[in-house]
Amino acid sequence: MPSEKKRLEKSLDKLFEIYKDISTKADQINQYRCPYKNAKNICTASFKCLNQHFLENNSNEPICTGSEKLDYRPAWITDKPINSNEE
Amino acid sequence: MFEHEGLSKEFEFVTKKSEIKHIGDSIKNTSIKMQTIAFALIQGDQDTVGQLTIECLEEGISANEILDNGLLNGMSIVGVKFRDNIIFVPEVLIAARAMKAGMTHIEPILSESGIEPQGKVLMGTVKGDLHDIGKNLCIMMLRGSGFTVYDLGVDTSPEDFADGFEEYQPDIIGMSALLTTTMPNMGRTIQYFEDVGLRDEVRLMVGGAPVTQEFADEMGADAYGDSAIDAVDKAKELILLLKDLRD
Repeated sequence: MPSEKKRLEKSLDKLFEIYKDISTKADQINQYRCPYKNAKNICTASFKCLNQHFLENNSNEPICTGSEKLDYRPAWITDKPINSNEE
Repeated sequence: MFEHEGLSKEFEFVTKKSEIKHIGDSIKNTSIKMQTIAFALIQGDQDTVGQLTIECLEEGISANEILDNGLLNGMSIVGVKFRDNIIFVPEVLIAARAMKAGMTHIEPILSESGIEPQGKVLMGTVKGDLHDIGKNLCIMMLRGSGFTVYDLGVDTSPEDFADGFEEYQPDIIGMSALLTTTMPNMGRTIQYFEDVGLRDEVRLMVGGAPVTQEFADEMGADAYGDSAIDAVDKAKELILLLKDLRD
């Protein structure tokens, strides 16, 4: 049992190290890229954002039109749920 | 490369020589089932990860083997893809959710081996705020460091936090806010805990982009985390303090 415990602890330490690297990278990338924007440039936020644009053929998943050059945060309207392009 | 075709394709994203060797060696002699777990985790397929973890445990495969050869191999590739801007935070969080689906079945074995959870944390974004990424990253980190975490989601009222406390009996409650307009709801939640006589029962931790140590102190929070990693450190400190108090 003690050796099994040690092996498991080693694995959990490894998981924590992977997560730590991910968290550090997230802090860096969140400076310029909205964290809700996925790899396909789809917005995953549950709230409304001025950078969301709903394509007619895929109205449930808005694309993110954020430039990654301007701060994305002022576009967030986080007290309103996501709905459509309409104001 | 590997028996699992999808995993072999995912492995093509690993381009650093040292990582090709390290992660490749770790995957190459594993069973197709372990490779399927790793692949499902990368895809964020929590149902498959959970189901295969159960099946493997029932077949007598050790928790350690599932962790090392399945879950961690998958998460290693997720880490590489995120670092190299192939995937982003939403995909990472979906993979972390799949990791949790596997870990749920591993956790009882950790306890049997003498590895107890660090503590229980209840997390939520405060009332009026729908932002959840920071909270979700904190949850990922806290779970990764051995905490049991209960997630109340977004727009969490003081009453919801109190109900969550009654239900889960956490050691710590973590509150997140993104907006300067919703940030005061952290203070209101702390006040509510005072009013209903729960303040001394739990430690209250706060965090979020506009929150500062000064603001946390003003509100009467027990700790402030300025990042997900810091939140873990602060949670560990609070648990130590609680242990001292309980002893």
